[in-house]
Amino acid sequence: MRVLFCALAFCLAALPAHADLKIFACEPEWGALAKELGGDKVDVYVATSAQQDPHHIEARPSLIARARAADMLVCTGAELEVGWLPAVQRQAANQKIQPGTPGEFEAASFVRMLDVPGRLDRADGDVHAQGNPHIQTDPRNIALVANALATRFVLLDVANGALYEARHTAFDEKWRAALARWTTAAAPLRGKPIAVQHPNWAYLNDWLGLNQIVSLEPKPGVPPSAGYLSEVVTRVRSMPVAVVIRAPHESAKPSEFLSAQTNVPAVLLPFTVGGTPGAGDLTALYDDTVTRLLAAVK
Amino acid sequence: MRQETGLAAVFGCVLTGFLAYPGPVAAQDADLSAVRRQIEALKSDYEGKIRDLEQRLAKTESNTAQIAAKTDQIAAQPVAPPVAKADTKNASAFNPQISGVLNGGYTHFSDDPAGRARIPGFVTAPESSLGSRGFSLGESELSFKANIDQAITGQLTVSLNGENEVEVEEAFIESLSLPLGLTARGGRFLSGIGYLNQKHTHDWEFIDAPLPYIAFLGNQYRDDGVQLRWLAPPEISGDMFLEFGGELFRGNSFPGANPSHGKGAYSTFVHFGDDIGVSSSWQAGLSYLRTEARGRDLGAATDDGAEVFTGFDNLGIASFVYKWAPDGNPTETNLKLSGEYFYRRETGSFDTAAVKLDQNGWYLQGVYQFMPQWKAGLRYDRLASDDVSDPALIGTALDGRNGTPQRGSALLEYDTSEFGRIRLQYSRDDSLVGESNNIVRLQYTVIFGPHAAHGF
Repeated sequence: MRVLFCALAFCLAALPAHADLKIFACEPEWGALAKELGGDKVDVYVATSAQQDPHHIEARPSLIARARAADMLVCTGAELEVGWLPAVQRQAANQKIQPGTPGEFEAASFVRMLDVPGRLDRADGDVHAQGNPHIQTDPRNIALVANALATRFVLLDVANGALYEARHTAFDEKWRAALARWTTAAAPLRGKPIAVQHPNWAYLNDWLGLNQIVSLEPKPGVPPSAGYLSEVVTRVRSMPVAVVIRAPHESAKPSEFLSAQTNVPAVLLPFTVGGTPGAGDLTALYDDTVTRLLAAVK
Repeated sequence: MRQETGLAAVFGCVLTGFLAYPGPVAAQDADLSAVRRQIEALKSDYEGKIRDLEQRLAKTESNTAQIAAKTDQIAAQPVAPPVAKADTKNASAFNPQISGVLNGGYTHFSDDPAGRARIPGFVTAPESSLGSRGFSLGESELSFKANIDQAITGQLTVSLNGENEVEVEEAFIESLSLPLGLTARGGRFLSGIGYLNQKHTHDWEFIDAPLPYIAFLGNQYRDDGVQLRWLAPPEISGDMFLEFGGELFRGNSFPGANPSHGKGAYSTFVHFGDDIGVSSSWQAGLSYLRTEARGRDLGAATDDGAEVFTGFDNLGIASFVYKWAPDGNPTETNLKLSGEYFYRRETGSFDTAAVKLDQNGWYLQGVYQFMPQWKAGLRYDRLASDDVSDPALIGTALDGRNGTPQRGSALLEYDTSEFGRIRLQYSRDDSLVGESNNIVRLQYTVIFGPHAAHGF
């Protein structure tokens, strides 16, 4: 009880300093984008880290408490957070962020989805009806989402509308320049055959023209057995790949095993902001992704 | 070029035909000029066509160059935004989410307590029986969920037990848009008291309920009534999770029965929790449930007497749960520890004997995922009760026979995916005083339908 009153006193004291928009970002990339577009007019809480698999998050009490206070959710959607976010939304009892309200922003609604399955069957592993949800691996999608997010900021916080629009224009300009830089730098990667640990790189492949020829999971989300891995080794020996890539939240073992067996370099890509020491912000995320791929492919 | 080759062939044919012409010389001159004119006509015709083709080719080439230039531009630009995806033609798109749970398995116990009190010292509900030996189908559940409109959401869960009986497990409506962090619920639902109580049995870590749940709540407390919950805002909770709730029930569920005026039970609870660093999180709770029984007759469930109870039960529960995963990423390894302490005061009369009994019980359990798809767990649970002194109750179900009902269980679980699991559980059950019962259960549980979001 004493903790409660201390907290009460502390919060009342801290009240006047509140930011204009309280944002609950489901993944680090959307937290980073919200900061880019909102500056000091937004107070961003990032619910997950790059070390966590956004499919498998516990609907923790702390998340419910943060969602209770939020003005807006900025999430991927496309069923990426289906295992935990609906529980958080229900328990948070916050009208502003319920499904269908302007306070619920789903980034995947604003990009062209890849890997939309022709049939829905759980026997095919972890399939998403609306397509592959890992849209942040293509920076062109970030530009599209930034456009929609800035519009939504203006809608929810009209008072700071001009600021959001100005920040978005500046961001868009910066992003176009960066896109041209990355696309030029990554030209040697075009058409390179690659192996992936989990098929969460569809958008990266689409952007850089990488040719994914094998996945270390027999089906999406199904951990590989020793038998399946040795099959992959045989395939990679007969049809060499330039690199095998994985995200920070995935076990290093399968890709390192493949690397040891076939001398294909195993590369850890940041996947999201904070995924590697070099991926501290949105721009650095793609700088580091391209740098790491180029270093491995050379 | 192809056009030129074609033209040469045409001229070749015409010339060949001309040289091979066998007619007289005078006629030949006239004919010759006619042929020349024809050739000239053909030639100009073809030249026109060639020019036309060349122009078209040049145009195509420049178009291709333009397209290539455009493609480069597009490659450097964001991809096109999508068109609207909603399938508005399909009337069944408004159908509720339907999910099903199937489970079944094999049970072995060394001693069948059928016909005797389940736990000496405690009068238990019929649903708390050990079940039957051998193969059996567990409860199959069907759950329907949908938003009714902008204000209300609804859920119906029906279970079919192995004896082909249908039971409404839960059927409730819940508010979607109350202000101030309030949520109201009405209908039949699992009470928010304790920690395990509001989880469906298929979400429990172990196959059966811990002893205090069996003894004090008849496995799980669910009833018809209303619930109001309030989630404290951060100004009060300081970014901590802090939820208060209250419930008013009809009161016809064990341990209550035959309520006066149809509102015989009520409860209050508070849940609170937070993170500790990035790897750990916890939740704790305090709950209180008061039920009234008026001539509760468990009849066949307790052949040992103490069948008809009239009186009140006051139950307090303290619960905690702690979860750990490296960097908060539970996919490889994770640990879940939980425990609850129950204290109950029962006042009233069994048959004709007046009683005032203080009883308590607790359980502590831990489940560790040591590698993807595999979990191992341990649980210990026990109960304690005042001794009955009334001679009328000696030898009845309420006679604890100076023992301490307790049980130890070990669990091994294999998950085929998030949606399927197979569990093997061994329990050494000393809840029947003086007679250890070795219980082995093998159970499968699968869930089909949309991916459900799980609470903490």
